[in-house]
Amino acid sequence: MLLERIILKSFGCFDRKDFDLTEGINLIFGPNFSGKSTLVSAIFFALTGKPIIPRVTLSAMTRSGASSGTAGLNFRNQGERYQLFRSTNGDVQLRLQEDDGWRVLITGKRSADAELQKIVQLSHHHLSAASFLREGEIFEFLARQPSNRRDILYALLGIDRLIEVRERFIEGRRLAKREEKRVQDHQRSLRVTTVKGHGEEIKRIEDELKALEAEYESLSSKAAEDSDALLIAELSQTRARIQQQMDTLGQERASILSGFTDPAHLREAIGKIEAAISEAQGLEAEREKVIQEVGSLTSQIRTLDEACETLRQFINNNRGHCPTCHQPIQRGTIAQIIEEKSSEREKCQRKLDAKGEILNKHTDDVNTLRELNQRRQLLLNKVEMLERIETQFTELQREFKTVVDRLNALQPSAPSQTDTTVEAQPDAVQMAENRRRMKSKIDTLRGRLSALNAEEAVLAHKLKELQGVQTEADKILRTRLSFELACAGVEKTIETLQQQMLQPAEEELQRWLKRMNLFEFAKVDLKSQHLLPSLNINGVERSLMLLSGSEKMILYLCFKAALSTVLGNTGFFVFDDPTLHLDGERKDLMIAFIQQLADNHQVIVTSNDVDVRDALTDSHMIQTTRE
Amino acid sequence: MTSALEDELVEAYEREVEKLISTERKYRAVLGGSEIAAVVRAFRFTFEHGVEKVTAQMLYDMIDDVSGE
Repeated sequence: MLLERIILKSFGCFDRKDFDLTEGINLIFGPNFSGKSTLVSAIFFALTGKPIIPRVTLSAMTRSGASSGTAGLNFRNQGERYQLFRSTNGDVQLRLQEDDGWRVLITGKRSADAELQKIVQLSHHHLSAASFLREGEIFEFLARQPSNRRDILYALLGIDRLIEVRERFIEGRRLAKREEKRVQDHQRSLRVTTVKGHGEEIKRIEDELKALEAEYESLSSKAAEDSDALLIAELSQTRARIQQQMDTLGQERASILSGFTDPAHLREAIGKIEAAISEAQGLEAEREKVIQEVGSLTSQIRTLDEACETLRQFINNNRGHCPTCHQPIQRGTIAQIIEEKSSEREKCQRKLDAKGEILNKHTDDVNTLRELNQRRQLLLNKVEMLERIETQFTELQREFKTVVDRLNALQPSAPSQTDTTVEAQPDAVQMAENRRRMKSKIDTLRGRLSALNAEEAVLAHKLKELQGVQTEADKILRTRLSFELACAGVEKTIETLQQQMLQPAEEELQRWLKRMNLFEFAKVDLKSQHLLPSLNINGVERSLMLLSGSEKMILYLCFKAALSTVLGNTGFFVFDDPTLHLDGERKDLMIAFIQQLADNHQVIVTSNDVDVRDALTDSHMIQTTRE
Repeated sequence: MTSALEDELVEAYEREVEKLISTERKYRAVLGGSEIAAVVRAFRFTFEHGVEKVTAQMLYDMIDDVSGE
């Protein structure tokens, strides 16, 4: 890449100014405050969009009074000519020279920067670290913390992005570990529940069941062969049972009939009672009437007694007048009335006595009637019970007959009413009982087998699930290891990149030092202190800090040249006042270094030192003046 | 960073991963070609799109999908 022209508009101290550049050394020479550093700053800003001095705002680079400033660069790269304009307000335009003039290639900061990176293939970190020397930079670099220098190194190598990628991989590994733990827990829980199966027990029961079923089958076949005998046995048992029930009913019937010959006799007795009850109808009403009459007569007698007693008192008290009618009392008349009343009372008493006898009779009759009713109800209940027994008995008789008929049909020669059949078939009965027991055992075993099979099915399901989880565990193990591999790969890449870059950089730096006759036997180490060159001269470690200012400056520029070679050469270097504070001898050394560098590069140097100007008479000089 | 440098970096990464697989038994015993390819693909994907856009879950899915094959 060759820088051909700097074009400034309202940038720094310049209103509108162009500066042509050439191959080899370009010396920007002028007094202080003439804009030399502004030109360095303009080149850096045009290429990177950033100020060369950190923390300087873009607006500070604009010419006083202007709303924005623009830095432009004409440059040549791989046979093509480009023109780049970058404004402090963010506008960027990249043009390509064609036969008929400049063609706008890209507009817009992001796209232009991306295109520029493609063309130049260097980031602003590269430019800053390897191609530019800004004022006071060396002292800043030396004062940086190791971590800060490491960040610069990482940025130079693209390791900063690798670190970020590694962080993502570490997060991914964390996710994988979490997932792995979850799967392992699940696996552990399933292992506990599937530790014991029922295979052995199922096998044992199946064998037992098979044997029992075979035996049962055999018994069933035999039973089918002896079915008549078995049926006779069962019918005989049934007949005996019915006979027993009939006997029980007969005893119950006899007990109910007690005192009566049969149900007809009982019904006859009920008929007589009902006739007597019928005759006695109205007895109650008549008795009630007599009771009322007795009451009336008793009352009359009491009234007559009281009247007689009152009249007798009149006579005994010898009163002259009646207290009621106030008539004079005549004793004879009163005695006559008493006589009449007494006579009347006698009549009433006789009637009462007669009625009392009648009432007593009626009362006896009524009591007898009540007893008859109770007796009738009792007999009716017995009749009802007898009827039920008769019905049951008839039913049993019918059943009995059926059984006897079937038995007769099966055993025509056997007596129909004896128990010999039952006694004759003990084997059949025993066999039936055995079959029943066997069937019951078979059913129980089948139930147990069914339950075990169900449990086994659940276990099989869990086993399948366990296998699924195992597959999942294998998968997650691969995922976790993949992330570990990814992280380890990033770390190894970082290590290799550093190795790849730093070792050649160390060698290149050593070559430069040798070329400059500086620290001829020094061994340079850039790794241990993250880019800060450390020297081992004749086996003695020598800190960079202990070097003189001029040694530091030359070493630092050699370091930049080495970095530039290793990182990818831009083709140019821009040094802002590299001879500042150098004595004559060191100044010559620096000029020699610049001249050597210019053999293969374009070098742009600023200075206000006439010795430098005089030493670089062959260079392209750009004179700046204070305006 | 230019795409050419990115490519170089991805290639360097792939070489390192392959070297690790051939030297480390724990990786070699479990991981195969598809997993290595997925790891490199995840690396390239993160580089191309930037860590701001690529989440750990995305990478996890990319690698886990392959591990299940």
